Amino acid sequence: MKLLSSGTAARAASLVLLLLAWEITATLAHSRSLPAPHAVFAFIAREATGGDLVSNIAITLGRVVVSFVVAMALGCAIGVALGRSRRLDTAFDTWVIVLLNTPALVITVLCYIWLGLTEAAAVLAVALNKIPTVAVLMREGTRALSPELDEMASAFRLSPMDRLRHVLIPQLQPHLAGAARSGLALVWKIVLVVELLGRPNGVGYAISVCFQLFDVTAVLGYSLAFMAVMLAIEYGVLQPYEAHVRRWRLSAH
Amino acid sequence: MKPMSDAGASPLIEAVIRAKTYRRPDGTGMEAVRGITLALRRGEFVCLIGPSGCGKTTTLRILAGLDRAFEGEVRPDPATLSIGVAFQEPRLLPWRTVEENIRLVLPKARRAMDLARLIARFGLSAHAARYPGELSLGLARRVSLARAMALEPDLLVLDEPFVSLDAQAAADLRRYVALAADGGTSVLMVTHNVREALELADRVVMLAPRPTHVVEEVCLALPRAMRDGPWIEAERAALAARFPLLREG
Repeated sequence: MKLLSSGTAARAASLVLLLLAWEITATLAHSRSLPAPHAVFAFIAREATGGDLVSNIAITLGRVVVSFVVAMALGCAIGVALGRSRRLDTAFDTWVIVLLNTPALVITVLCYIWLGLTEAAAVLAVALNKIPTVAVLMREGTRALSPELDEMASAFRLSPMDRLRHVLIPQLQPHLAGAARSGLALVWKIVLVVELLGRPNGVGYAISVCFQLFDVTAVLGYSLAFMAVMLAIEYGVLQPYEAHVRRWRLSAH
Repeated sequence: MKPMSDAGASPLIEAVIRAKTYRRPDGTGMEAVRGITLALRRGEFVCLIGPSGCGKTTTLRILAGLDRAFEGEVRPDPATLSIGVAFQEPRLLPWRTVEENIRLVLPKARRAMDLARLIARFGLSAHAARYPGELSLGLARRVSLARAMALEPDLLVLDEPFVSLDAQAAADLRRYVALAADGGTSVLMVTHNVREALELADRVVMLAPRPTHVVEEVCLALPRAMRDGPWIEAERAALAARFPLLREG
């Protein structure tokens, strides 16, 4: 408990230091290109009460959630299939590598050209960018499954559902948690690009408008507000989930 | 001590393994078993003894229905019997507690049963809520054995189950396994410990080095309860005189 609170205090102190350095640099620079943090926070407060900040964040968050769920579901299914079958892996490994190395921008532009400037195209573009990363992580996880535990499950004739719940999924959970955490960070960044290129709303769209008006305060305000939401998900949902799935490892020490 | 050739009642399970060959990574074959016929009667306790790496575990796996890639047959199909297995390594699920590990292998109808007595009998009461990573190897082996016996199976398949247990714990667990056999459970156990085999088995099957086959089957007619230290020592000496490999055991 002591360690936890000292760690939290250190993080808070580091954040205050960063804001202080930003405030001093902005005051010294005295330029429209670098607004001070108090001005950015004032913008966030103003936009949150009387502007579109909340609705734009909600729209972007919706896109993040849908594309994240689609990417995780498809990525897991593909990864487990490739990890279980050497033939499938040989046949489709190159596809995964090609997709993994195709720039996010290219995938996004192609989705918009082929499917039009639609919500489905936006979600598909984000999911396609994320699927190969999830698939590769889950493939490695599946390859590392223990044949000994598999044989134990056969020896005791566990039902397919029991095998899945008690033998397979727990072995894959650390990989799933890793894929989810790295996935969320990637997905929300790509969602902003996809919105900037082809959606009429959302944080990415708002930032593109602010960019055209050279309103750096608004760009930073939107970024910080959305970043705060994603950090809340990271610390409030993903990290507790990861700690939960690893509880049996921690208790060994 | 006398050579075994008891046909008796129809066996609980019978395996005829003409050959079992493993494929090495370089494509060449490694013959593990060549010609084993092994039958277990209901309630019979059989120990397999042989040199390290001779194919004892392979024989167990075939009999338990875990390896079907061999020449020969097992009758009836092991899938039709209730079989409890204690592997050489405990093979517990690290993310489930001791009690959950045991409960999980029970048939659905018995999943909710009270396991306190079984857990206490194996000296695991203080560890029931702990995860396997917190247990010593000896304790993990006890859990593995408790899991296999919780099923109250037709056949117990045990691969060196008492290794790395302290003398008292090993003696307690041997008694439980013997009780299961007295109660009608057939037991097939691999061991390197000749004294242990002589203490427990109704029949000892001596296996040859790889590719293994049965060298001799020895029936131990004296009831388990009457076997004492001097008797076991005398039997061991007689066996060692015929099988020089056993002299160290």
